[in-house]
Amino acid sequence: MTAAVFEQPVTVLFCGDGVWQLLSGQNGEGLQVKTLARIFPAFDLYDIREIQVAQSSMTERGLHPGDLVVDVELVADEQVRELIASSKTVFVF
Amino acid sequence: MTLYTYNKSTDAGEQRLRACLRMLAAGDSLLFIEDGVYAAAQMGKGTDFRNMLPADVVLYALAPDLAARAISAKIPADFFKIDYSDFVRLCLEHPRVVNWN
Amino acid sequence: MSSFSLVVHGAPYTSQASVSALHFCRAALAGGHTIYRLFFFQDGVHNASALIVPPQDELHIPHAWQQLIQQYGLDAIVCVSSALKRGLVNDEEAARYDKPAGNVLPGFTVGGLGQLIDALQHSDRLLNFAP
Repeated sequence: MTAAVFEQPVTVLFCGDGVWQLLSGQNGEGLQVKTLARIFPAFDLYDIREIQVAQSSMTERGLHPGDLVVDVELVADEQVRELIASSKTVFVF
Repeated sequence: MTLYTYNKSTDAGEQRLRACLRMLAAGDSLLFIEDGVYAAAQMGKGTDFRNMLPADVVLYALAPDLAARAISAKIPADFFKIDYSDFVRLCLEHPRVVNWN
Repeated sequence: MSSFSLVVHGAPYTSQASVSALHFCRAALAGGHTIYRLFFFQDGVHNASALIVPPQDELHIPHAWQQLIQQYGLDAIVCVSSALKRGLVNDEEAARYDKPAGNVLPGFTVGGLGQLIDALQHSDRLLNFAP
């Protein structure tokens, strides 16, 4: 989101266990921790429109787009490879 | 032409290693560092992990990390064992670096 | 000659991340390259702690960073939001939040995420060293 504030074009890709972060219905209140998923709808406020999720990661975990808190673009591994190859910098969190 | 680094043993998740291996395209390089060198020891020709890679991916392991773990002899013969100055050079020879942590 | 920025995500003595970054940093400098910025992020902020006392036969990781920073005049930023919630404060913040003392080693500067974005715009390569 900071990168978007500095007007850098950003694509956010969720893959591996990262896709669990997008699951809707999260509630951290019982643990007195922040509910992580609440931040993702804010992508829109920061003009981050490119939110991609690796289809293979979803399939491995039995997840469907309807399970997620934001609208995402499902991408095949080949598209992920193209995304990385077309990016100047890649951050892995 | 991307340089990937990988830093975890397979105990940290084979699925994690596979997720990284799936990203590699022809012409990319993969450097195993830190506990990733244990995963490198399981990357011999004919293994499932190895079969996921395009044929012309160049494989590297960081020699100081191998020495610290006494695992140099277990690394498949076609890996290049490199030091930190080579690591720096590889970063510059590739247009981008992805640290798959 | 090229420029690097290194993002350190790991705390010292917890994972190898900060030591790997340190060795990479030394090798890049030895190779005649420049370090545009070091950015200590998340648990990596502990590398800037003035309160760390490792056993005498172990590398003093914060001091090793400090020595490199001072020798080469490196720009070393400690992410402020990561630092505050982990108990890393400079003297100014210690006063502001009524804490007994600041504990950021001289040489490190507390800064914001904007400096990370600036680093990725202005460095030839940016590397992440994470646990």
